[in-house]
Amino acid sequence: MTNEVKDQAVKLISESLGEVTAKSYAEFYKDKNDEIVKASVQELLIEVLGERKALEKMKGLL
Amino acid sequence: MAKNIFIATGLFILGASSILYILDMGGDKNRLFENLLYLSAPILTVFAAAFIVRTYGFSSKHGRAFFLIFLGYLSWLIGETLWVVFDYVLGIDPYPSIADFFFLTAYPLIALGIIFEVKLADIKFSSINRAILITFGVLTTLLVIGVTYSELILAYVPGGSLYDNLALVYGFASLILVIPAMLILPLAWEFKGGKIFIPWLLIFIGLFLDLLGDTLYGVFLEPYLEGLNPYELVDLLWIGEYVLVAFGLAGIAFVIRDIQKRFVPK
Repeated sequence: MTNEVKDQAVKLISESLGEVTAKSYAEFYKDKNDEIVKASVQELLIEVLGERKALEKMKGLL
Repeated sequence: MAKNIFIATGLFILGASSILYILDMGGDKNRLFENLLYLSAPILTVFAAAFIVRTYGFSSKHGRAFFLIFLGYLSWLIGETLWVVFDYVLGIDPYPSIADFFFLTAYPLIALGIIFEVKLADIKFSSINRAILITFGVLTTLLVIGVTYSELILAYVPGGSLYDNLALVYGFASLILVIPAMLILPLAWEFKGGKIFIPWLLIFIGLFLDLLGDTLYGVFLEPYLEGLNPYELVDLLWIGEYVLVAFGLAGIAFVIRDIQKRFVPK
């Protein structure tokens, strides 16, 4: 897994949900592959921000 | 559990205040209870604001934006407490007093916190429902007119001293808050379908009630200060504001806290 995708995903979470949540996800994503990370962050952002906003934020990652 | 206790406390404050104020139950005998209930509302908001700052973490941009809102509501709480102490405990006229300094300080702090949140939300006005934009425009215009009329035109004492015209400062303070507060409507709309949509909507309604209360306070200042009914009902708008904003802030915090809890081993 590339660190780039993981770092971007954690940065997105940090921007939307704060550092504390981002740290938990950074740990969780450590051994996950790119596809799982992308799906996870998308699901999380849709849950909190709603679909339109989440997909807008995910543009760079998808 | 904590969520349920928080909601029950807010609903109790709203319900009990409504009964006391609308029915004027007990008259002067219930003054102490009425004052304690009134103060419990901003305490709830300050608690909720501290909770959301802690949940986001001060290192995050959201955490710092909400910290400004926390400081604003803390300032309002200090102002409200001083008002009750002067008015109820000491029996002296609370206006004007040092309480005004704290009331006035809150407006720019809350406005700044909201502006940072609006900036972070990166609102795409082009994709927002037209009805929402029209509502935003209409409410903003009505509040600007209302605040200007009641807190600037009615409050102006021609040839008066700074002391006589202190009320004008409230007018300008309210105007500072109008646009940021109304921007919360399109901000909330950005998150439609997400779990933070309703909490932001509650914050919007709460701040609208605050500005409505400020406007009515300016129009009915004399009977309000004399404690006459129904003019005292303006307090209910402010209590409603405190409780709804508290629900909104805590609501966002609980959404994020629930996500954080997923990583705590059971």
